[in-house]
Amino acid sequence: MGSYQPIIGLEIHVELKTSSKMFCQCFADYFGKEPNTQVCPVCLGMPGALPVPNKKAIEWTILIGKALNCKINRFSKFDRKHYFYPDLPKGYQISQYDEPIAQNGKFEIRDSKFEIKKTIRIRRIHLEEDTGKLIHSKNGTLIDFNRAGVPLIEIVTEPDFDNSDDVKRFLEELQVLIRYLGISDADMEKGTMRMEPNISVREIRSTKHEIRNKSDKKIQNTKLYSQNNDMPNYKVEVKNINSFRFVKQAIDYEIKRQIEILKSGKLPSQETRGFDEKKGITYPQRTKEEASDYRYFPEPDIPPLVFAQDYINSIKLPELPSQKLNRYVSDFGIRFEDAFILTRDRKMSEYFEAIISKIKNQIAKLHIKNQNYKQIVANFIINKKISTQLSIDEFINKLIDNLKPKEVDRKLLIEVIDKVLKNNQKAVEDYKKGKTNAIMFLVGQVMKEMRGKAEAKMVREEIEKIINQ
Amino acid sequence: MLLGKSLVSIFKLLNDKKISSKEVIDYFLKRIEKYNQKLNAYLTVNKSYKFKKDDKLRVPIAIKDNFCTKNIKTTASSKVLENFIPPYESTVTKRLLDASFFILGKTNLDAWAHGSSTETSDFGPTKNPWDLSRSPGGSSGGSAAVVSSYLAPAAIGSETAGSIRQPSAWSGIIGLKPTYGRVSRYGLIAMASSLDCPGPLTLTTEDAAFILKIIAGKDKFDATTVEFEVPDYFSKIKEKKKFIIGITEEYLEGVDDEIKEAFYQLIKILEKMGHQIKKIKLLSPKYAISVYTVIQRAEVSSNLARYDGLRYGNDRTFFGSEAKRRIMLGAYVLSYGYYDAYYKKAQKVRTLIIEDFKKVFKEVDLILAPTTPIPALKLGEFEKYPFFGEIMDILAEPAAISGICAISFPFGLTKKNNLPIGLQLMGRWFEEENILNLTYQIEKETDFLGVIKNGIKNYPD
Amino acid sequence: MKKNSLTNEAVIHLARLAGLSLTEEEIKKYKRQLEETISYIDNLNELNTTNISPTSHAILLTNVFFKDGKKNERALNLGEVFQNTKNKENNYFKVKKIFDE
Repeated sequence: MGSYQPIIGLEIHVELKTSSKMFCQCFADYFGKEPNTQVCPVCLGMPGALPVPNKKAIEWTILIGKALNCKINRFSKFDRKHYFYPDLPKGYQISQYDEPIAQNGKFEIRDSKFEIKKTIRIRRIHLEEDTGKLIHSKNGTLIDFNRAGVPLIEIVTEPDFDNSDDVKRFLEELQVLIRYLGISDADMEKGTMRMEPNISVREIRSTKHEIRNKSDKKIQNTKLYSQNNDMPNYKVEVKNINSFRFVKQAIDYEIKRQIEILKSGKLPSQETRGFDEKKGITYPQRTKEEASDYRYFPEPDIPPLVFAQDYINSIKLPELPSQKLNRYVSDFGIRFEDAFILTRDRKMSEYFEAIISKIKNQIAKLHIKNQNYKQIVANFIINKKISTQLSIDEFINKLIDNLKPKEVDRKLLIEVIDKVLKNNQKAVEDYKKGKTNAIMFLVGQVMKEMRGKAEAKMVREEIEKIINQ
Repeated sequence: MLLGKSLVSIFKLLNDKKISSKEVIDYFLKRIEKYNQKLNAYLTVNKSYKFKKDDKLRVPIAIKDNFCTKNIKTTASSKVLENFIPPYESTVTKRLLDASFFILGKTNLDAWAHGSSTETSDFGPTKNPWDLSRSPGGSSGGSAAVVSSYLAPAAIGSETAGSIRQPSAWSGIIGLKPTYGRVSRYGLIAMASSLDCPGPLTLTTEDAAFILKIIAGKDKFDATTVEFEVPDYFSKIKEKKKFIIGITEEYLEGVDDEIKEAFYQLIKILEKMGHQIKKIKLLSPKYAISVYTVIQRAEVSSNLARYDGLRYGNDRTFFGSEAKRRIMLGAYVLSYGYYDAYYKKAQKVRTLIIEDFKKVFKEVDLILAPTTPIPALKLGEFEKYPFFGEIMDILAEPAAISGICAISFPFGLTKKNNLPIGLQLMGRWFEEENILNLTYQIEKETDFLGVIKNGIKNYPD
Repeated sequence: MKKNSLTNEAVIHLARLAGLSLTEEEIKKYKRQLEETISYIDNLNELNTTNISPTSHAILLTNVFFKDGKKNERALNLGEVFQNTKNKENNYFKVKKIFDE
């Protein structure tokens, strides 16, 4: 009986938004710049040039390592990874091999109620340099080295995923986290975040291993993925996926493709495939001739990294999105859905907190009686009733204004009501007959005439008063 | 008359306005015109000096052609870079230029600094000024020949394992290998990153001290340079110090009899001067050769990976056969399955060699030994020796592997062929002032048995 | 197969890894020279290195960095970038068309 279980791991690259490149002082922000205008002897791989590492890039790697609950290695170093390709100026990439900066972490995927659905293990996080960019022209390939040498963090997960929805959730949460830390724009379209899934599928044979307490859904769902069969001895790497939407498509297609092969009694080949966005399929890529022998060895031009515990401790994490969300719900009494939206973006949440902090002394002005002012501010931000481009003070003023009971020109109001009642006799009759809804129509007409200068409640009261006279 | 004047004395003459920069540079350019064709020591001569009226004082110096000199062709003696004009300056040459030097020209070397004879240059070998049928040594053969024949008052070379000391010994001049990390490698075309050391080749100890002070010191562009303060070598060499000098049998094995004789002669003199000679034991230098071979080949194959002709230079089909061989072996020792057996093992033996020196330097201040086992070989004889003759570096390699400083100086000529004999002093890490100090004492006491003076006599104006 | 002897295939493979193309004659020559060298360096095994850690850097430096955002003193202008380039097109380096990703 064939039941198939996908096994998916991710390799994610994140380009850091440091000011300088990883090993030289050229500008790291290459987007939209004229080709080969942000280069120097180091990132061009010229004779005699030497690398010196960027301290901030290392700190940010430790930061993301901590945010993903990794162990930060006290000793770390850079290594050379050799291969030939036109976008690789030195004929080797300076990367990290056996002593990366961070290892053995975890990151949780949560469901729509923000409950932990699954914990994904992070195998390692290391730091390396990006390559140049290749552009294909009519009769050749063109190379721009502005991107060569930009710092790149590589995050490798264990193959703990078994479906594409979880992968998408994971990537979205990871993106929020990375942006929260302020270390990268993590934009898949711009290429500041790239990912490659490794996908295999295995057939589940009837298993002796039963999950105890099947009825206890919570335990079942939070359990770390357990292997009760052997790992398949192939995996397919998929490249060229440029958005979260395509991630799901690509993975689903690939799972289906592999299952078909397995059903036919064959084993899918270990290979690298590309993803075609237009057709929504994966296709085999020309395989590199043989398994790459990268001939790693420790980078002799860069002394090793030794991190004192004090130093590691000094790199402090800001409040993370999940922590903030919990705080908004439990301490501020904000509705979960609203707190979720507010905490997706760090700037947004900081703005929100600045407002509620400042407005504390002016609550009386809000005329909200016993309502939660924090929730009200949240509403106004989320519903975009007041622009978040305004300064804190401007926002607060606008808010106070908005919540002020509106002062009406009573004389005008009576005049307008009279006019409306006169022109809408049928509605008045209907109301008198007992059709209470008719009054809403009358209220509406008066509001229209008053051009928002009257409050609906008050208008209705007045109309009722007058009609019942 | 300038002939044979040291760098420091030329500086004095210029400072005292007894001579002009133009005169000095013209003088050397004339000599180069006369002798370079015969010696093939310079690959590029810099005739670009513009004689402006209020120009600064400029002293000429020759630079080995593996240092990137801005807008002056730099080839590493390889056809891969035969027309390469660097758009940037190496730190060593920048510091020299800032200190009023003028780059007289770029000197010949074994291609990519791979070799001990300068015969693997893609632009022809350099001849030994003492005997044109012989090699001046290598890889800094061009720099050594230039100084030995006074085609420049001093030169800069680089050493990975003997490449400054060995040609200095064979050409009868002084060659200093500073401690690894003392002098910046930024702009030095990389050979073996963990071994390369830029250093001076000179006629006097003062000159070596003078140049070292200028080029040494931390460089923000080279992460392997140390922050230690640079001593005032120039004044330190004149301090009256007495040393405990170690000598060892291991470094006399297979050494030419006449060289041994010179060695013992110097020992007697040193004892008379009041220094203490002490017998020590060191690991056989043959292990250093293996360590060196593995590490150097691995790093070289990696450092030469960038030469693909795409951004600059010619493509990889332009590599000479020696370069190709080293690249292949480097790929081998790093390749899957062999890394542990070779590269890692070599790095471990390296640790042993370092510990060995640390132990010995607790008992002695300096170590005296011959620089090379034999004097200058005839051109073409190298092929008979393994590693294309690198075995000549056997006595130089332990210092290279451990990173300590060392200096070679001439001490007499062989009676057999009238060739210079070179002896060397090795000192503790970052104690260049000690080896310079004792060399200065020897110079003052013996004048190196007249070698340098007599060498230059063969090259009259 | 003796540890120190190489096959022709091994030599060709090495050459490929190293980005070199060799003639038949060169393969023969280098095979011999490599074997010779490998024989010599086997003397490393005469020394006992159990419990010895490898030295990657002879001078015990650690933690050398530069501060992000420092002025770039080594920026090259377009003229300098391309002054040694054989094949360029519109301020790009140019190479034969590459087909795989």
